[in-house]
Amino acid sequence: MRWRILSILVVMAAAAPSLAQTAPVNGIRPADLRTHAIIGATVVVAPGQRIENASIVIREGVIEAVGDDLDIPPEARIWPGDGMTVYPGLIDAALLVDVEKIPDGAGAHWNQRVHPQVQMVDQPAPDASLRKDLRSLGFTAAAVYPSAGVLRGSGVVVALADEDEHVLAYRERAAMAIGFDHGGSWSSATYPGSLMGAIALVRQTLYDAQWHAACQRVWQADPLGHEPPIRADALEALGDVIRRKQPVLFDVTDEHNAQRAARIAREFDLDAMFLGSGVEFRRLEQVVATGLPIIVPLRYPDRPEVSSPLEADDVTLREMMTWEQAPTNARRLLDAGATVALTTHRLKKRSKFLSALRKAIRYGLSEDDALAALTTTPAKLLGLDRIMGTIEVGKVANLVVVEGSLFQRKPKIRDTWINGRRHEVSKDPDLKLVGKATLRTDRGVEAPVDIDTVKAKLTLHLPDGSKVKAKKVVFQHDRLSFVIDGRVFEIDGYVRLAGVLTEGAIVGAGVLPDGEQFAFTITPAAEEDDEAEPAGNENQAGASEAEEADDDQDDQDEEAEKDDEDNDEDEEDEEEEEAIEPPPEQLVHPLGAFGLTEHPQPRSILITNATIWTCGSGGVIENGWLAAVEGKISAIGSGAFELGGHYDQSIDGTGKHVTPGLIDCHSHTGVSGGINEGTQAITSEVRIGDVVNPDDINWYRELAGGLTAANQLHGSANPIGGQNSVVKLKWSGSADDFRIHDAIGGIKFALGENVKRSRDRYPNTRMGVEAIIRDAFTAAGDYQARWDRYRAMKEDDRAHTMPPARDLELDALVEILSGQRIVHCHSYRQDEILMFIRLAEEFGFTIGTFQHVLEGYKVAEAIAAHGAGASTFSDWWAYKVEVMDAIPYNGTLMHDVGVLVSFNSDSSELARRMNTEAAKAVRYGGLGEDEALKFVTINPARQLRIDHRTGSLEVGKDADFVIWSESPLSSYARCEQTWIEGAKYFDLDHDQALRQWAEAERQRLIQRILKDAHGKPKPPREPAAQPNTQPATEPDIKRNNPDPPYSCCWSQDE
Amino acid sequence: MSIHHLAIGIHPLPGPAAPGCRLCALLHELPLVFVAAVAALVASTSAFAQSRQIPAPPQSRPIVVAGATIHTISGPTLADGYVVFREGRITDVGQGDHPQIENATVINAEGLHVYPGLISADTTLGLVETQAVAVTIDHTEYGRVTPEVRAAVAINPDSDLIPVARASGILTALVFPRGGLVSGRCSTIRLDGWTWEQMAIDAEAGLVIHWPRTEPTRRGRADSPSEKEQRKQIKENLEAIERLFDDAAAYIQARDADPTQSTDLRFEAMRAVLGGEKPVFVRASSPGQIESAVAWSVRRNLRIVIVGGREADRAIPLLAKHNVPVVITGVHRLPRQRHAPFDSPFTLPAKLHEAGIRFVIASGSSPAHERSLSQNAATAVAFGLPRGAALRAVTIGAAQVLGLGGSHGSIEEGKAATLIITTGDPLQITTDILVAFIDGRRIDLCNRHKTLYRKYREKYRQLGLLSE
Repeated sequence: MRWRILSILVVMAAAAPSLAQTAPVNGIRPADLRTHAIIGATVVVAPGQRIENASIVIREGVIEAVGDDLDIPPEARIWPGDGMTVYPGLIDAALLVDVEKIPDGAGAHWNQRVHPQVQMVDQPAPDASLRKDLRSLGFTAAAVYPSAGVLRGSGVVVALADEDEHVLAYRERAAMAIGFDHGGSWSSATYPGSLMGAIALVRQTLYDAQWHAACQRVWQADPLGHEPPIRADALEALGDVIRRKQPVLFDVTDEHNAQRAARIAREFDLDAMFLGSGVEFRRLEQVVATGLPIIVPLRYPDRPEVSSPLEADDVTLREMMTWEQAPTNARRLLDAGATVALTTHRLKKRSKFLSALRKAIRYGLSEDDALAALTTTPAKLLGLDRIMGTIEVGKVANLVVVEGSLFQRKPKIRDTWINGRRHEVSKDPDLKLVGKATLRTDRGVEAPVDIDTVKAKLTLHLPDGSKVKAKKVVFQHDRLSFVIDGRVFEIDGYVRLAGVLTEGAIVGAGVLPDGEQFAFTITPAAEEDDEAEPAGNENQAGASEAEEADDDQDDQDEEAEKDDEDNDEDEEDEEEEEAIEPPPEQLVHPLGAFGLTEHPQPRSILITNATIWTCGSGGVIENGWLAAVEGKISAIGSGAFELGGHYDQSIDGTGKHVTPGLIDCHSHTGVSGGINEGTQAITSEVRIGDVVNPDDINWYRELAGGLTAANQLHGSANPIGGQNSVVKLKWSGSADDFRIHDAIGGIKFALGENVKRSRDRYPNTRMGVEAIIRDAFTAAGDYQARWDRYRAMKEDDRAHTMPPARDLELDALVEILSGQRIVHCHSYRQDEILMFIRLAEEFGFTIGTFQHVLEGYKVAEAIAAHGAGASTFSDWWAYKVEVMDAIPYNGTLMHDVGVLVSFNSDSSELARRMNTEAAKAVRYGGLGEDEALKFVTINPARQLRIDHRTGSLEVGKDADFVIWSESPLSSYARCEQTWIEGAKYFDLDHDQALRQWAEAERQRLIQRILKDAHGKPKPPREPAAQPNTQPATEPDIKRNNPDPPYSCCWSQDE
Repeated sequence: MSIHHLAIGIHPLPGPAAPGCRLCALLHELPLVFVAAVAALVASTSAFAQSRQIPAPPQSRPIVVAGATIHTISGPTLADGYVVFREGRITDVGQGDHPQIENATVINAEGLHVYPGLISADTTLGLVETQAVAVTIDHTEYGRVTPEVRAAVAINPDSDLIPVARASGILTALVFPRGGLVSGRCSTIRLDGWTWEQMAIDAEAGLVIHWPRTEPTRRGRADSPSEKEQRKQIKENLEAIERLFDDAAAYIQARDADPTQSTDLRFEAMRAVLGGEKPVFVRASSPGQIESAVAWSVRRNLRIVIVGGREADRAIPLLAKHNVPVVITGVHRLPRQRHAPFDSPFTLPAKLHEAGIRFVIASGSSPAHERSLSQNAATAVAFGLPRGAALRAVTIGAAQVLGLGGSHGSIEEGKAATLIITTGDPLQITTDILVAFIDGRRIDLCNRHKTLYRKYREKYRQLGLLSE
């Protein structure tokens, strides 16, 4: 079907006649009653505004009146609202559905994940069963977006009506959906194969759209003298996005991607919002600081399996904490000031939405906020707040009628109204008999029974106290039949009975085993009292609570049978019985073990009596002192410290060694979504900086080895890889905190075996490696020339000239050619090293570093003459053919010939002990110890062009330093403290406190998980003293103390 | 009486008549005169101008290493001590003036240190040359149960990786077949010889079993099998081991009673293990695997050694009760779980030591990087293991676990003269290994790396960029 389009104007013209049916009617035209009145209900007009005993008049799909003192029009069909609460119809702000046909052929984008020209309004309407599922949760409208791709297409906001012809579009074009889908592996056949590739693709496509718009402008102003712009449906479709006339919905799967999407939104000034992940709370501050609205799924992680202690090992504290805290997500976001709408999307079972909502409320979300997040906020986000979101005159009659409250346990949604049409969701049967009753026959039998015609259950109580359950109990509308054991009648065999519900009782006839008939009645026990409530009433008089619980249990069993995979949310009923133990309010960053409550702050510090390896002009200072103020080194000297002044902290460094913070010139730590965009030979447009993951636990482990800065590099899958990211290890900070903002940009190149491995793309040989890099730089030169010519035009001419297209891939190469970006070139063999030097010389730039460069020692004179640095492994070799000639003397030999040398890790494990890597330069080649240490301090700093701020201990530089237990080149040395910019990020004592806290949290959470799964354990019979199994010397771990220890650690400092 | 004072370089040591490796002299640019003396000695025998080192002939005359600090490992450390060895065996260890022995070569090692050769207890050295090239890999046989294969017979004596390991003091190794459930039999070797036969100390040192997982993994991979499937697999794997040993025992009983019973090489290969003469080396890391393997060995009355032992500290009670030794394969590892302390792999040896568990430290590296063995041991020291215990873990402790406790791992009378002369503590990266003997044979400590180093220093000398 196609949508019926209902423009806002039409809706606002509330008095307009009802829309004509376009399809011919087969037979007699049905009456279409369009005037209704819900009377006597509690009406929640808007979040926080409720009118008791009120009525709503609906005419032609629109709310005509609402209030507690209305004249109900006589033609209105009346809907009694006693006991009901009417809310504005709920709105799902973002549902993702699969698109059946992605456009291809002329005008389509070259990349199969880029199809912004998809319009959901052109696609088949959401499935009727999906609409029904949503209605049964109280939803009346939903925004529907394409589920897959990068630039995916425009959404549509639809009515969730039953009849296809009523599924009209409130907004034909909602936001443009953007996601970061990618192939996700080294060998991924199609671009993008990595998260950074997907981000680069978004960025490039938006620039392309800008360019296309500019070309169109030129063409439309005067086509004479111009080639017509290429047909580009995809770029065309983005026109309103880049002009901020169409909002953008970023589908982000975690809290980091939200921040990444926000960076794109800022770069292109997009009107953006997120479809979130449900774990935004893990980086709440940063996510909220984006200022973008968030559509939050109430997706809670499955309860972790921790029953077996060994199997629980696989469950990280971070997972447990995420499980515990996820229900607080929406509330935390709102408290922090974010705009929040809720969605049923991402739920494992959509039908669990209301119980998930209830859970969020029990974890602190207010009911008003919850309602707003389902009505007024999504209406506003979708630009439909004039016509929906509240129950106000003139607005679309989208309502949800609930018996009791929407937010109670197991809410009873009765009706949803969509455009003034009632959709029944559920109702209690009008005819029923529930409770205690008496069975009487004309044969003199009289027995108390428990009857429930709704659940089709009937049990007889015999005089001896035993019970007989009736079999095959069937109740249809008003007729009951069942079979019962003959012993009730003191005969052998089965007795069959059937009757009708009339005047509150069942009246009918039975047949005995011998065929003899008899008459019977089942009369409610209550009726015999004077306070009898007539049967057929909705009251469940008499049903005992225990039975109800049993029934609930049965329901659960059935549900469990239906879906035994889904164990996570079914047992909430039990949880509901007890008050929730509030989870800890204070969170650590990153969430999980070793996270901190507060980001370390710079302090003034004085270290005295230490051996100070300056790695600078000061050499190695015995019995030295070092002072740092406001993050910078303020003074260094030897002997007694006499400068005076106040310091926040003084450290007696007797016996200790102090070195600059170590620097790893080749790291892949903390990169999200793949380190290789290996799908193409040249991917200089991708940026590691887009995908920095500050939560990687290896950052902390590396800090524990004295590392303070790292060069995060793209992998070596292709000749020209992605742009690098130079960071300091500011653990607990955001990706932005990690960045060294004044570091010059770099880029990864790679030669040799890795890049020629992909059989289905160029290059397959070292010859091809040279050729394709040459081609890329040649193209960059041409591109630059094109731009230079364009920019040199007179303004008037420029206005009539189609501009060159901005190409992010070539931009990066132009930056290399102009010396603004440095190349870090993965290389092994001497031939390729020399080749690349000559190529660089031909194109007139200086190589930043050769990485690995394991045969660098064979052409060290050429490297030195060119002025490239060499960042090598200390002693790796033999893992592939091109490293069979690698030698551990490589570093020292290159150094001896005049090359600037560093040792790198390329490994999150090795990066934890770069100090002893440096010692290998002493062992292999006899380098002096102070020079050797420079291989992991000032030399990599110089290679990364960050030596103006770090890499050596000199006055004015960043106070990035490490305190060691002994000489840093000793294999027995331990890193005791690691400081970055005068703030302490690692400390052995503090580490002990963090691990004790983590262990206590784990045990607390495991107990919580087990209680959640199995209910509270019964207390021990006798509250006898617990046997003390802990040795007395065990550290005093404060169980159940959720306070992370960071701040207390500071106060412990001398 | 003819005593050859090598320190003054009168005679070259018995050994290959190769020109001196001037490279090696360069390698030992230590400022002290006595070292220079030893360096001259090194220079006199190293291979030169060829990429392969020449195996040494048997020891033909007595050798006295004198004036050194002798780290016996099994006994006290002897300052100003000496070691005498003849025909490959240590005959005398003492302090003060060394005995004057007819026709002996005397090495003046004043200021230097003597240690037993280091032992690499978990390696594939000789079975792998270049990891990325499949045809150079010989450690994993087809099939899940291959007890019939032996590591020794596939060891390439001319592997370039062996001299590299040797140059860092590793003189003895236990080489493992890998893969499957029962990988084969591991072999103890000496790191020098013309053939694998000469290298092999015991080609059938024990049976190697890779213990299967004992817990399903919950690492949330979309494509990982369900918990139920995993549990089924675990059960099948564990039952397969039981069945194999039942079948082998039945076979041996039948075969011994009835010589016409046809031979099964797989079960024949398990004889020594079933008879308790040789241990089973069980590769196991998680506490569940370790406990399951130990319980199995107790049930079947087998001797076992746990290899890998990543989380052996969590299986201490059972290991202690049955006195099961553990080969810790690598200290330089990342913790397995995000929430584990950053140093948990580093502190594992100290924990086992404190609990009185016998343990060995292995490098945990690829065979090309076997030289990281001493650094792994040193890291354990930095994180709480007493230095002496770390040294034992790569010498005598390893020898005992390898079944070489009577012949290797310490400087003692009667043991093989397999030892190193160093500039200091062999666990320190900066310490140089100057001389090595295997069974009294002077080992060429040159290797591919030193040769290439020398070659390219020469290049820069020719270019005038280096002075010497």
